[in-house]
Amino acid sequence: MSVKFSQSDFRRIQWSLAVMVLLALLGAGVVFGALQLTKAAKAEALKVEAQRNEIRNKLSRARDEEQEVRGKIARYQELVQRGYVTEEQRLDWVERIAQIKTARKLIDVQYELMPRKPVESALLPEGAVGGGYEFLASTMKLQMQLLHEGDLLGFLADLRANVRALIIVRQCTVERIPRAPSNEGGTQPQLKADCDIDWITLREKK
Amino acid sequence: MSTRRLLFLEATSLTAYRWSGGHLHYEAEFAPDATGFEAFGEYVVKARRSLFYILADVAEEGFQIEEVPYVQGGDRKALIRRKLSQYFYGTPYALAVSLGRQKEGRRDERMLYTALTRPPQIEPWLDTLRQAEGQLAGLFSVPMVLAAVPLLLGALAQRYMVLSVTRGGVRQTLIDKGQVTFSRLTPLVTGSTEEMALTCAVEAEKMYQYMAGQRLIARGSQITTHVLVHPAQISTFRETCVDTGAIHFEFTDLLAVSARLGFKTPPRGTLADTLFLHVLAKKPPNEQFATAEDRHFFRLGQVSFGLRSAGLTIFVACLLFAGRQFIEYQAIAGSSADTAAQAATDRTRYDAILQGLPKVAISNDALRALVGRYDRLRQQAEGLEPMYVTISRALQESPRVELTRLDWTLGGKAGAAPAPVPLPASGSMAIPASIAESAELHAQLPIGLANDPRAQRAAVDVFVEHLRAQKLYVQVLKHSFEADSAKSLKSSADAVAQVQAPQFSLRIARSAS
Repeated sequence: MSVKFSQSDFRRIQWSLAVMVLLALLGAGVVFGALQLTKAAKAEALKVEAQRNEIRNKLSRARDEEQEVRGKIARYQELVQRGYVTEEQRLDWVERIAQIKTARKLIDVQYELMPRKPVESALLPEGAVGGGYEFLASTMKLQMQLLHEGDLLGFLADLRANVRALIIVRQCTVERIPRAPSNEGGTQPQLKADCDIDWITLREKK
Repeated sequence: MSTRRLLFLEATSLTAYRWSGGHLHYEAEFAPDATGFEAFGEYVVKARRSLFYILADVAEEGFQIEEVPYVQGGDRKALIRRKLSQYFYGTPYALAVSLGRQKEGRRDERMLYTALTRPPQIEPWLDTLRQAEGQLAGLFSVPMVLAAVPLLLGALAQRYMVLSVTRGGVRQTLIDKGQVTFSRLTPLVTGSTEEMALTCAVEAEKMYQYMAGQRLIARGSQITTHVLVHPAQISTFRETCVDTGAIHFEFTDLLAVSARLGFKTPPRGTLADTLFLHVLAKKPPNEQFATAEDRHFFRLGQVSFGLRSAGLTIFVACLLFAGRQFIEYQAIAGSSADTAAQAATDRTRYDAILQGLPKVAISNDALRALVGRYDRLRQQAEGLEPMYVTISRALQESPRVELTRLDWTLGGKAGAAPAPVPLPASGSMAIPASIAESAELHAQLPIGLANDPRAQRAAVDVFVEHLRAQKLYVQVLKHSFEADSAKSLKSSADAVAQVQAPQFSLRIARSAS
């Protein structure tokens, strides 16, 4: 004969049921906490390991990197010492050109300096801005009359040596001047040159 | 675990004991009257958390053995219910025990039906227990407990008789293959040792006759009868209980049996009540007489215990799992700490290397970006001088070539010149896609070669070869004398008047690499 389970019977076991539920919840909480703790520890372990690997790779490359950085620092210092990191000194440039013309006894030097603008991508495909600096260029249209091609080469060499800008010749046409029958006496130009030259300076990008 | 309380029920009283670790502690005795029932109720209320076991030692106990067809499930339940009501009508304290199936024929099942046949003797106690919400684990009888003892008696025979003395009298129990098949109780008048011994001798003989009459044993065979006796009284029993052709007496030391059963409160006399209670507490029989209604609070207690146990099991399992996770966490944390320490050491070494570098107000990455661009521009800043020098050398090797114009360009000059003139296969040298500098060279030959196209061609070819020897890529844009089959060629009518120096043009380039 079976006995039915009444509401009063439920009251008799309710505390046991509550204890069971409480213990189960407590256990679940403990498990959840432990899993979270382990998960966090695993994530932290991965992070620490990645950092260790990164620094280890850096360290293994450090000697090479040291040489590379030393070389780059030297190049950077050269760049600064040459005075490329500066505002354009156009007045200084004009004076230098005049000095060179006089010193080399050049027959005729005509030029036109264009407004400054970022260096063209043809020269710097990666862009004119990098490392916190912007590379700027002022293009000079130069026309000269020469006794021989050495005048042009000497003029460019003197420019490179004496101005605080990186000189890059973009284009240059040298053409023989036809001899005029009437001007056989005196020093006559034999060649004429027509060149485009970029005067490159750097400006700190803020 | 709940405390066990054992209640020894006989016709004249109910005695309560508390069992603990093999010790039996007497607590109270209740008479079967209103006062006794009330006192018993109060006792149960006080010990409500205990488990109650009732051991009935009453004369009104019936046994019936019958072979029935073997059935299962609902049919079996119905069969047993019908048989019990048939044999023991009017008592709810009845049960059936299977004695096993026959080995032959249709393999019928041998059933023992037993019952406490006088409910009024038991019901008041169970009612009081139920009203006091006591947890009744079961209602048992002395013969059921005796079935658990045989191996301890050293009884080797398949069938034997046990004589035991309790406050209710002398009980004779027939045990067949470990199962109780019949039992009866003979009350004592004085309770003296001599009366006990004499009753044992007489009742054993009567029992034999009855069993033979019931064909429970074969007439003429001798049956071993074990008598549970206190060692102090064993001599009296030996004198009285003498072997006959039908019965062979074996006297069992009650104290020795108690010791073997782990009973730490041994009986002081031959009365074995407390020993049976100890056996009941230690190993309760599987079967019992009480109804489900009487055991309701026991079931609720079991449910409560089960729930708490389940909760505790879950919690412990969770703790174990969490413990394992914590061990894993500690291992990971330890490993991470080691890794972090290694990383810190490596970082210190790396920082020391960086500290040794010259100080500049720019980060390494910015330095790379800046110097990379600067170097690229420096490579392009060589200007036109290298190519001028190279062309100069070639001109020195070819004195008949006179330069008239030179267009130099940094890099290539796309689409600025006419299509190149094809050269012989042996001399062709295509200009690569990536060039550092290029130039268009316009030149002329001495006027003396104006009427000698072959010499013109030879002079140009020599000049081109000299340029190529300087690792320049050269293409002929225009020859002084066009001998191309794809173009028209006509003679000059007035050759002398139109003589001029033969002119040609080249494209020259230097690879970027």
